[in-house]
Amino acid sequence: MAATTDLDAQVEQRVVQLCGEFKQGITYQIIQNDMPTLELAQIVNVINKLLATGRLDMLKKDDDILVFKLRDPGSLHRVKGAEPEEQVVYKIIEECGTQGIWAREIRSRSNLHLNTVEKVLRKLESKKLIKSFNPVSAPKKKTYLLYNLEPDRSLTGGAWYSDQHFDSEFVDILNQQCWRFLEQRTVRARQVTGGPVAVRTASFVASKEVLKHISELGITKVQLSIDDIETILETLVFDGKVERSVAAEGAEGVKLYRAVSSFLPTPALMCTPCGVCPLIKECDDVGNVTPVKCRYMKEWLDVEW
Amino acid sequence: MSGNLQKVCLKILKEYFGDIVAKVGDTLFQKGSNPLRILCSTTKLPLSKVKEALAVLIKHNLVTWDEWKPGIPCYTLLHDRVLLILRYPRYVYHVREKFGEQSEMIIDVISKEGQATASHVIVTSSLKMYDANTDGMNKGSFEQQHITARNHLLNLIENEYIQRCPAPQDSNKPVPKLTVKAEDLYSLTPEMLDLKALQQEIQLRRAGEGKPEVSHPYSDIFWRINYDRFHIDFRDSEIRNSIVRRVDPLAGECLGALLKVSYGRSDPWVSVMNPVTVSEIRDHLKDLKYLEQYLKIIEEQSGGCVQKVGDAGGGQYRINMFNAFQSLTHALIDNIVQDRFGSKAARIFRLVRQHRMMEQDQIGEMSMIDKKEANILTYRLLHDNFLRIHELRKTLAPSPANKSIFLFHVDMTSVVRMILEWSYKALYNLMVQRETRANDNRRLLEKHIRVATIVENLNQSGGTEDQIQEVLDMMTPNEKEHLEQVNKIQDKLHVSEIALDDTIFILQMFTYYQTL
Repeated sequence: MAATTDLDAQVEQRVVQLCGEFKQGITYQIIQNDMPTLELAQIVNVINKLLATGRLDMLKKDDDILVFKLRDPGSLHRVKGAEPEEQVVYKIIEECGTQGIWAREIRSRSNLHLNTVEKVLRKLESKKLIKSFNPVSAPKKKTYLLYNLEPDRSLTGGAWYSDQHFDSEFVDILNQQCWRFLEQRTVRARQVTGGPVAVRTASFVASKEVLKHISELGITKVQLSIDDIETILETLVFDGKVERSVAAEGAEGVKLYRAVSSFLPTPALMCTPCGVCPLIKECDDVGNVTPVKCRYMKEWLDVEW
Repeated sequence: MSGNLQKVCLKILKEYFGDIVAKVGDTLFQKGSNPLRILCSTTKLPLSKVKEALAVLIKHNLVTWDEWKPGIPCYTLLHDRVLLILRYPRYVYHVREKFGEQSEMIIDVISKEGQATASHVIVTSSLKMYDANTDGMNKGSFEQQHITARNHLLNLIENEYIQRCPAPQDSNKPVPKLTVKAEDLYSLTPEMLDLKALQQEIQLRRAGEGKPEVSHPYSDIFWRINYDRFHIDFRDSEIRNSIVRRVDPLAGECLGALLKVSYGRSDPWVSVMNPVTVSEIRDHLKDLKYLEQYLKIIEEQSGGCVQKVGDAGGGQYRINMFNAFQSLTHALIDNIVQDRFGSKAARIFRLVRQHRMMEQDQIGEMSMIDKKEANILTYRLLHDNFLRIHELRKTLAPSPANKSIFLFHVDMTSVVRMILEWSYKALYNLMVQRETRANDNRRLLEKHIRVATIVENLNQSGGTEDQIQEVLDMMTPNEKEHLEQVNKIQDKLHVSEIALDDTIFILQMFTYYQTL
């Protein structure tokens, strides 16, 4: 079965290629001449598939010969009752691809009145030819793009955004889980015999492995990429809990991470109430905030009994 | 030099030397160098008192003088030294750990006296040892006590923990200059001590003859604590502890050996020491299996403290103290930001520090914190002076079309200075709190001392059990409980003060290496 699908894919590719070469369209004959080993049923199969997905158009010539042409992606003539304005707007939106376009931009490009543009956009939207979304960078700018396209990562913010909002809880959880994983590794690595270098090497984890662990944990339904997990791991580096190293694997470098502890324990300054006191700037010998009257100090000293 | 430092110094002087000395010291702090007459008029104290106070301060190495006008000296307070008084318990403890109880007594005596002659130190510390071990020690060993004490003193001098005080060359001059030859600084020759006289004095003093007239040779040579030597030890232990935390205890051993070899090579206070080879370190650590590996790891993990410079002799390494204290201070301040503002703010702080200059949007993106929250945290850090803003304009003329760019950055030296100020303030607050609490419970504490003295006297004069019990019952159970609480709080405050000094030490080291 796998072999046939593979073959189908090959044939499909070849057919599309042929269509590209013969701009005026191709016939059965051409396909058969190109791939003589193929049976007619197979060709029909492939062509039907291409027609169903809308990549080919089937036309009939005067002499009743069927001709296949690549469907012009911008053609709106299939849409029933497409008005010229709709065509223009559709074309503009299409040109912008996955980046999407703002209604006002459409107006300036199409030279149509804003009201008209909005009407057309509503119409196209109801026909499910285009859709709108709000990019995370400018949530109030309603952006349009073709219905079958997914907006670019820079607009959706990638895996970290749900409904245009930054999912900081999700990031925090991933951050914690990654750290826990690296920490466990470090603890386990201490058991390794063979010198400190071996211990250190054992405590390094490739970002790929972290990704695998996170996917296995099942805390997220979103499929994360290596880049995503590396962004999370970078935050741990900035937290000072993890250090990064790069190792060569084949031709390219692989990022390795390992948990480390801080150089110092909590400083003594922070163990006194003055260290965390929000009023330290106001504190003085006279006035309302003085060390003698200090409530924080009193609580701290009297806490044990 | 700041208001906070001044308040701490005043508090310390008051606590250790009393009001008059504190007043003179404080005036010197606030007005700078001043001659005696002006000191009298500013402090409004009689001449004799000011003289006495200055003598005390000079004896404790806290004041120096210079020739102001021909024949008239002006006095200067060494405020850093005043702060070091708080470190005395640490010095004493350090010596105890390293050389034992007898050395502890010696350092204790010298730190209390400021400057003392060798014979005085030996006699007093011997007597103290005797008092501390009234039951355990037999008479025979005490006969030789002065020898033990001398040996310990010699050892401390040889290890440069104690140094000779400079003495006037020509004492006839009105403003003598104090000097000491470099070769005399750490040498206590046998002829400087008369062992017989020492033994005699110890015995007489033990017999209870207040101040026997025993003359000792060289009674004009004084000795004092060499602070720098202690600071080298503290500094080393900070670095070693950080490596132990980061890697493991064996790595700490390696670093210790590396430091030891380095000190044979270079001045301990330079920021970058001369390189040493692995084979030299190997001589100190014969049993360590993975020395080369450990050195490699330390080089990676020490935050630039240990650097590899070459491959000669199995690899050459050198110590970079500048980097070491830079990374320690970074860790310290990161911890402070984390405890004060939360871990997300610490992330932003570290991020900005590593990238040097950052824009608002970049911070939000790279820290993976919600933009709004990131902004709030950034501005809070800015508000508390941990971050700074740098404005970049394309043109100098202000116009709305030219949007200026605001870059956040960290100015480490000013942050360190600020934290130092905080530490001084915290120190002051703790001392004030301790004093207030002691004053509030003065009656109770005094009663406790009185009872203890009576019991002690009864014990010595052979009072009966009943009598002692009767005296002890003068403290009601309620009072006893309260006393325990008060003492606990006093201890807690005192421990915090000493611990706080550790933070100050790291920051001071950082500033020292920055200005080097």
